[in-house]
Amino acid sequence: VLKRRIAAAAAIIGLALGSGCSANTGHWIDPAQVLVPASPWPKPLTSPPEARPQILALWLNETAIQPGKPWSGRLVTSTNVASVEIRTESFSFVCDRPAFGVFDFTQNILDIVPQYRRTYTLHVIARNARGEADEWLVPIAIR
Amino acid sequence: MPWKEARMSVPGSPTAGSGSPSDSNTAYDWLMALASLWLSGGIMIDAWYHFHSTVETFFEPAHGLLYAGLLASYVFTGITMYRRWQHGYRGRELLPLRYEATALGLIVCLAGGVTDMIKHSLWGFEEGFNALLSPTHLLIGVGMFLIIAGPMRSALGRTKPPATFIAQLPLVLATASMLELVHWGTQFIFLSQAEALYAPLAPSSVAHATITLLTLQYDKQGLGLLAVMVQSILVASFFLYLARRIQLAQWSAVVLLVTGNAFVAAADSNYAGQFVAVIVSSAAAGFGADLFRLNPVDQLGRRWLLAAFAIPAIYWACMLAILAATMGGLWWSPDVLVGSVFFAGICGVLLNALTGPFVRSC
Repeated sequence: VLKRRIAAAAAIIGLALGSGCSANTGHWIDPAQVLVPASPWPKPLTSPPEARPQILALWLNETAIQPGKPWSGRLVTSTNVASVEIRTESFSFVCDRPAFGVFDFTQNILDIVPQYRRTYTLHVIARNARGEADEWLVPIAIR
Repeated sequence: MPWKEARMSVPGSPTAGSGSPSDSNTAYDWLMALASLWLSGGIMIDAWYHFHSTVETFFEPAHGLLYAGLLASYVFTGITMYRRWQHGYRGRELLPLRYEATALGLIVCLAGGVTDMIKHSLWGFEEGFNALLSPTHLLIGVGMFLIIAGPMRSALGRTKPPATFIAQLPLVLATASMLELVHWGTQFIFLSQAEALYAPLAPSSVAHATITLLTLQYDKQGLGLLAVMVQSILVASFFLYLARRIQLAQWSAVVLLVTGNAFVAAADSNYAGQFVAVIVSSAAAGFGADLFRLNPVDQLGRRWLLAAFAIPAIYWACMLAILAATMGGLWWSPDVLVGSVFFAGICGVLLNALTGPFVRSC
């Protein structure tokens, strides 16, 4: 009985600890792939509001970001995407939407504190109005 | 066995003669010193984990490691109290001598842990300075301080304090753990940012941001010098705290400074060169402290003044030299570099004046 209780307690502790290990659920993208704009650059996919959101193409000017250089990116999505969030473990921001299915961002980086200089997983999350998401994951580094 | 008779044979007995061998709690001192290291290491790994991972649940591995350290403290204390109960101790005497703060710390830490879990469950997780200054995190920190104070008070309270390196080790490791806890709360000012790769952009390099960059440059230089001063105060104060109370055995200062800076260096370093710089500088400052052979019986000598200046100055001179060699140079000007090492020494001198004996001759 004691052994069973110990095993049960160990299982509960293991589950509790395991639940803390967050899993990335998006699609992993090769960083080299996003540095070259897709050719031809796709047009936004017309989709009804209730359809699942889709990221069609992503371009970043850098995946190794440095102070003194602007960091920018461009996305094409389905037209039902309401917002695109750019997120890492340390920061997040929302992209501009110049047109339906077209998103972009530019960060002017004047300085970065040492604590933020390391490798990250960039989460590019496109959401429709219902909150459904399409997520791309890109390894990046801040130097 | 009558309990009064048994009490004489158990270490830490309140009725044991002052300064006698039974004035100590050797086994429990060692266990709590190891628990102190576990707690301070665990909280630093937790800080690293929060910075490097998206924490979305209280039940994550770093919290598991940290709270396992707290659990170990409870287990060690429980076993010790049970053994003393078997030997006839009752009531407050169940607790080893001079461990009242630890008992209070165990209660405070548990209260902090439970309220922190509730806070996270209800309102999610803080980031950055919010996490640092969160009341429940501070409550846990206070609890840990009190727990770690136990082995320190146990050793320093003895009429005949530990004299050999091995005998001083529990005290030194617990004090190093306390230094790590202070680093945990002040880690935003641990790095000097003197490395060339952290240099601010030249104000004229971005025309539309010249004034902002000028401000940035001023702030970064100021923050770097503050890091020099704060770390000098920590290194000198923890060393002087022990050296003023007991004659530190050879290597004790090295272990104190290396262990006291190792966890925070591991958590905050982005490059191996930065970690190596902290470890080697701590060891060099410790070696320097050993050379002075300070004796608390003679607290008025000039040796104290020199040691108080030299220890933080050695620490920063080594740090800046190693960073320059391993990190591709430094962006601070030669004037600032020399002046910052002098500043470090002055911090030690001022602390020496504050911690020194206050003897008035008639």
